[in-house]
Amino acid sequence: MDMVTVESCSKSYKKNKEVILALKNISYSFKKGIFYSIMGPSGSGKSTLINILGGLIEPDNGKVLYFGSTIRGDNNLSKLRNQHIGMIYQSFLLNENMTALENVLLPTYINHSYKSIDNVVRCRQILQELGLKKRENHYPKELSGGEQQRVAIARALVNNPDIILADEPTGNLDKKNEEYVFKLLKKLSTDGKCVIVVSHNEKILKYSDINLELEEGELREKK
Amino acid sequence: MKKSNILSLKNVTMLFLIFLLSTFLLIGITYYFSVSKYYQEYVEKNHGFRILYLLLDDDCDRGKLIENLENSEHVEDAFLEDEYSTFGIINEYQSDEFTGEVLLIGVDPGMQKIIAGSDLNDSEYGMICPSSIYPEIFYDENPYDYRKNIDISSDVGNTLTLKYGGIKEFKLKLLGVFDRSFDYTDPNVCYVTHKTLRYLNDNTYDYDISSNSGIYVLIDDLKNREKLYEYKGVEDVYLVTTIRSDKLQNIIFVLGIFTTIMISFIVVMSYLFTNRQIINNYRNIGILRIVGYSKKILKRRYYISNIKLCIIAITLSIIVANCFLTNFVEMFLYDNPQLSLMNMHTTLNTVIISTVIILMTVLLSTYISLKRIDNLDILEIIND
Ligand SMILES: Nc1ncnc2c1ncn2[C@@H]1O[C@H](COP(=O)(O)OP(=O)(O)OP(=O)(O)O)[C@@H](O)[C@H]1O
Ligand SMILES: [Mg+2]
Repeated sequence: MDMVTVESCSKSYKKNKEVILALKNISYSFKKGIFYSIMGPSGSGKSTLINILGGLIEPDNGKVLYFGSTIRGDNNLSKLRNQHIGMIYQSFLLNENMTALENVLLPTYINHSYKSIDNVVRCRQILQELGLKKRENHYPKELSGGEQQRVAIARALVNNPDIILADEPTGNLDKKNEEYVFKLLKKLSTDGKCVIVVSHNEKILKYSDINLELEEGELREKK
Repeated sequence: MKKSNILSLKNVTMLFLIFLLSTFLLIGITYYFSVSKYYQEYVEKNHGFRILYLLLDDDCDRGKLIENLENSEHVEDAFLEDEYSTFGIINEYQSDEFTGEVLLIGVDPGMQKIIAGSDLNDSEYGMICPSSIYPEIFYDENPYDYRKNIDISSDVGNTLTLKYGGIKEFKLKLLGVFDRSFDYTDPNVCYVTHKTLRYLNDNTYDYDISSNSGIYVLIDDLKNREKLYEYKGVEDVYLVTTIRSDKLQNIIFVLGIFTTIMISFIVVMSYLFTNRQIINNYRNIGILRIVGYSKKILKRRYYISNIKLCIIAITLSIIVANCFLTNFVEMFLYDNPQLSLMNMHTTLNTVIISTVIILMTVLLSTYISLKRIDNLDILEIIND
């Protein structure tokens, strides 16, 4: 089943009259229950692709289909991202002024009250599953890189998304945490989620089902 | 973001600025409305404003003109310039120190603050005098020394003998006295209706109709003023009593300038304020976008928090402005007899107008600064 499909998408950036073509006419379908890895040199447009898939960047041309249909407008895309997509980044992107638990609760504030017991219970459970039970009330500053990334993953998982998008999730982690994250992502894909991970790290190939290569704005499957 | 602290320093500064603008607008608009309304009523109520002065040709037959004017349906009364004001002496107050000479003016005292007795009415012969009159010898020395004046308010209701023009005696009732403790400009001015003055004149003088005097006309409505030019010999028509609006005009001008400055200031400040909030929160806003907050939801938060600030500031300003306005007349207008009777309050209209101005100002600048959320660059945040 196609979870997210890009159809002839291109994206270019203008800077000082210079046009940088980040993605050239890319088409690809990402399927349910599969762990995709995307590798490629720096500047090849990996982050751009991930954010187009997450509906955070609009492609100049082409379409992005979610579950087979196009979704238009920031309101709908945001809702989709909130309900069906979990995003994970290299720099964790946690709110420094919020505790681990509050950060994880963040995606649930939109529709439900902050104090909704259900949400708090669910967030706690996810944190516990990720081994952060005792870190709930710590601020990001007080957590190690690995712990912070686990909080970020918990946040990505809180609304039980169908698609996980990760942009170099292990870039700031040591070997042990690296492995933990890859294993976790693998498990999520076997649980039926579509997991798309950008990484420079060769170890990902051990876990991924399909390896994609992005080079000079073009996406290829690599055997 | 969620727990935005309404009492942060920036919020308090912003709150204070909006409060200042709001207070200022409330006072300014209330002042403007009260004064204009007051003037309007004042003009409608007082026939003094319907008195016109006709400048005449030298060869004009003044007797005939008065006759013609009096037959006009628009003219209620017409009388020679000489009849308009004359000196008299109030016998009761005549002594070695005080000659008792007062100026009688044949118009309604208008909005002089009557502190005892009643206003003038057309049916009886009576006068309204200042609460105190000045002994001439002291007046010459020091017109502002009010301790040397003679209090006549105890005579309200009594009939006083007036030696009119120094010639003939008349009995006039002292209908009332007006407060003149704040007004030293025209000492010893008493008011009678012009009918009274005419009665006094008719029984005192033989007028030399062929004099150079102009003619005063009491017209039914100022709109009919132009009709007076149709009479032969009339060269020009002037209003005798005009609203003393120079002060009002000045204040409105200053208020206008201040308001413009304040509004521009608030636009800039509230733009900078929201802008800064967004810049400081750029990363966290990016995070919210990533977890699925739409631009609309994010913007709505800024609008709501700015509207909250406005509501708090406006509420405070309504209280402060009303406290201020209650004392406003005494503080700033008391030396203006035309305005000193006024009482000023903020009305629903004033509050609505100033609230609308403030909300528009703040929302406009918020709207402009929220463009930043539209242009949020997610890659910039990720790669930071
Ligand atoms: N806002 C921008 N303005 C101009 N150029 C941009 C902008 N964002 C990205 N680019 C350019 O687009 C290209 C693709 O960027 P992108 O971040 O997607 O690369 P990447 O593959 O993720 O690189 P890395 O592996 O270093 O993270 C790069 O050349 C980058 O310089
Ligand atoms: Mg990147």
